[in-house]
Amino acid sequence: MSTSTSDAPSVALADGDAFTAEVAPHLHLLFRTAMRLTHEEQAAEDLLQDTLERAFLNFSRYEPGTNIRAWLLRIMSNVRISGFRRVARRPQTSSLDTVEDFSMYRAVKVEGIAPLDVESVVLNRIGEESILAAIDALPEDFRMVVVLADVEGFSYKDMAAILEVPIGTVTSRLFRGRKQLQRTLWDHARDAGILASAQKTRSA
Amino acid sequence: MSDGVTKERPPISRAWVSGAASRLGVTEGTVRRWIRTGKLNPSCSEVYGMVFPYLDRELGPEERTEVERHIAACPGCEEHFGFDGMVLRFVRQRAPRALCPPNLQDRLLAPFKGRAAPDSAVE
Repeated sequence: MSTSTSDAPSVALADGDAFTAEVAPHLHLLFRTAMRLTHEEQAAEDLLQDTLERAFLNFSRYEPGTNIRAWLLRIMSNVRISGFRRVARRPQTSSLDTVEDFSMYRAVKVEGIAPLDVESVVLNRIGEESILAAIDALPEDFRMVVVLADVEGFSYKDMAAILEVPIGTVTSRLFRGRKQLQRTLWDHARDAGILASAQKTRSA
Repeated sequence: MSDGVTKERPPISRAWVSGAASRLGVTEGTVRRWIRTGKLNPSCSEVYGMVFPYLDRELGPEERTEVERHIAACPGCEEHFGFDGMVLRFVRQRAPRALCPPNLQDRLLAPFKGRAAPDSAVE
């Protein structure tokens, strides 16, 4: 776990300097996640400020040695949700019935591209910014689990704690989110002409 | 039959049973017995529902065995699981991970420098 540079043995008494030492290493994680949630730097900064202020005021509740990354993200998630309550609006959330199942595997078969070739002839030609754009296009509930699992590497248990939902909810959001991500990446490959050239390569 | 994306639970086809028998190196009678006794789940859609927990190594030992046994018997699912795993690795490896700009770090931490501990926790 993170080591404090402060000589204060108990974080229950943490002052601003001890708090700063604890959270500083995790600002990159918090910044990335705030950017994926808000999509722009000023809104991300506001969310980060509110998150850190609430974390500081509640730092005596943090148990040293437990997962501080998950603890900070849970606060960020709560700050984000209470912000929506205040302004009485929420961004588009996912409804399970409205999301159509998409399988890139099936689409690949329909297009006549060999599944084993997809990495070399399709995926590797999709740029990093397009992956980010595909993640950003997900409804927020799905985007959050995809970011936590696939960008930050959290376990289902940690995600359930961060989002304060059952593990079953994490699992189903992740399934839908990743399927929708596949669809967006596939649509991008089609629009960018990557599919057409993959098929040309195959028939050449 | 064995494309791994079947929606409803179909009656188990002869072809699936004979394919499974040859892939597993047992007789068709054994495959049917394993299906009857729950040792082999023949439903591609049920097993595919566990694709991400399987790839994420989040399944318990029993479910993990259930998936592995089905995949060993079913070429369609083996290919489908392998494909989704490949896409997943691609996203994980290539998704950019930005760093918090130094001047933003300074702005974020400034309010806490030299600040006294709060009196008590608030919700």
